[in-house]
Amino acid sequence: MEAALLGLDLALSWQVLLAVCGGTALGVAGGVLPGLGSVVGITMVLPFTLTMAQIPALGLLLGIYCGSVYGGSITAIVINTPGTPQAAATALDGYPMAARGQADLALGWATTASLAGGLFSVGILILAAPQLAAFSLNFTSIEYFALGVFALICIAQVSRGSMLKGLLSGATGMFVASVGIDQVTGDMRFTFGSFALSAGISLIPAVVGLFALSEMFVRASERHAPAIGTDFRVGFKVPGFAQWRPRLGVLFKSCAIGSFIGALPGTGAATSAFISYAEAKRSSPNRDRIGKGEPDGIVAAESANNAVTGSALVPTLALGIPGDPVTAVMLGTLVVQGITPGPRLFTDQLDIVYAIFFILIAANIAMFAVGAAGAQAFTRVLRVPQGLMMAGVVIVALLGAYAVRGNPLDLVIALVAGLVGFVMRKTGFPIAPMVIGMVLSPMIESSLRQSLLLTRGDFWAFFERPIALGLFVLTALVLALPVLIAAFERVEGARASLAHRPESDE
Amino acid sequence: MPMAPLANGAAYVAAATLAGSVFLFWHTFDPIYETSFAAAGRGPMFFPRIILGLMIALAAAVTLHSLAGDGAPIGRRAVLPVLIAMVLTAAYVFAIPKVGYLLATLAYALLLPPVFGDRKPATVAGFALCHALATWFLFERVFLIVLPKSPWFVTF
Repeated sequence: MEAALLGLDLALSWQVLLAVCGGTALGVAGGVLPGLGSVVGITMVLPFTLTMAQIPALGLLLGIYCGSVYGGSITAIVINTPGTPQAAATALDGYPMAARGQADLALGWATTASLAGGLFSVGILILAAPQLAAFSLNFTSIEYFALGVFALICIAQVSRGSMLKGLLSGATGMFVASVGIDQVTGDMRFTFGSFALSAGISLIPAVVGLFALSEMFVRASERHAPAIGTDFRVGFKVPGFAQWRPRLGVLFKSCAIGSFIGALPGTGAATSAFISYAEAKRSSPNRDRIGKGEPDGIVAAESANNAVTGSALVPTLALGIPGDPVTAVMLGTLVVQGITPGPRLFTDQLDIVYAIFFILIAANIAMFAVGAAGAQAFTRVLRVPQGLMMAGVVIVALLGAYAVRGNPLDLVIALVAGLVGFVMRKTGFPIAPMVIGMVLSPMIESSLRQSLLLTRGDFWAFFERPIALGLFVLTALVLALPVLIAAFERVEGARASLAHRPESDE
Repeated sequence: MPMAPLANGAAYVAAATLAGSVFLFWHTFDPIYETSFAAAGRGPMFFPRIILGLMIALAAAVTLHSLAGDGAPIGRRAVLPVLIAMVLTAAYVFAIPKVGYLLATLAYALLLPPVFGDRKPATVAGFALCHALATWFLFERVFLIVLPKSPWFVTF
């Protein structure tokens, strides 16, 4: 209780609230602009957080996170161009409503559902994270190794593109993280005599390159794409409780789906929005109108994608294992701020954990206020010429890459990562597994080596521990899933062709 | 064997990764790492060898898969703008330590927008000046983060 009060005191200072509001506004602006979003937004403000105190810096980061997830819905509704992939499902009903002249009401549904989803997921975070952290105190290095492998395989599996490409991307990220000094023996690995590489390839410059620079290169390669129309006016209208009452079931179910999916590694807000939308289309009383401008569709998509924000932080804070690139970057910035996520955070720095909970609540409320007051203003961001916007984003992002260590080599790393990211995006290789591979690699390596010391080199002893065995079985199932699905589809196809064979053939 | 599948970008990327992984795997047997192997049992290359072995297998599989026509071809649209953007960004990155943050940023912010078709000189110049000065002032003077300086001026 004392820690909770201390956390509340930390979160309610004017500096923190200012950072939360500023971060949320920046996040919404980043979400509005197609192609930017949470990761680029967070890497852009990273240099600002270096000189801030711990808690205001957290406020800025979490504000951007929540704001950017919501921001994509504004352009999805107003101009049928989702600012972020997670808002794509919102456009399916939001834009038809806007086309009917109800853009203000559609924005009201989206913003209120986002607030409800966000607050629901904070509740899940408050309930689940301490339990998971307490449970994980029983983990040895063997369980952490199994967990790391499971998280990486999940992310590679559900990434865009083929599973093989996702796995290769993840393995490449793990290799990149192994460059530099070996933590156990102190040897230089893959530095080829370069002193600059002895410190390794740090995460932040790599993320700046893979996301911000590659986005700029992709836009340069597609600059003949048709310009987005910007001549529109929007307002904001909150639906009354009478309109909400028949939709509370959809809202609650979507919040639950979003929170559950958000806690799984590699899934994220876009997946949860589409699953929730599909569920609403299956079970909503208004299912016949979904897809034609029905608020149920907006409520399902927006509450589910915002319900991811809190629950995605459950494994990140409790175990130190990020579920997606956003939480991976967040993890990196927390470490820069002197906060090490994991079970010890819940015993040693409980006040900071509570401060994070309260900041998330404040960020969701700020998101509602910013959306309600500034929907029209945020659509004006789209009028900034693309060249000026990309130059501005790249300069600040590179500044972030440099400012963490003050090492010019990090600028070169960001450039190389940008070129690699561009080629990967153009050839269908997902970027997210590479980032997660970089984050998880040190943990997987150290836990593997510790485990082999514990078991005296006997790898089979890993399977004697029930939790680790369960995680290995889950990993094997995730890997086998595409093969099983393909086999099932082949059998079903064969059955269907047999059933439709003309009688004369028999 | 028809040559058409070789136009597949994913196959080139996977083949390059395969070649790089094989070279790095071979490098892990360099005698330079043997001393530590003798001293610490599993040695510094124990884990990278596992990862590189995985990469070799996966890159070979992706190469074969992509040659069979499952990959995305590299688009040929707007090659010049993206090449210019890459060269400008590379020049900017290498110029920052040489000519200082402010001057390098000013030049980059002036030259990059026209690549995207923004060619109003007054707007671009105004943006370049304001953005470079504002970020320099904010980080160097307000946040006290030391940015690279030019060899010609004391302050920037």
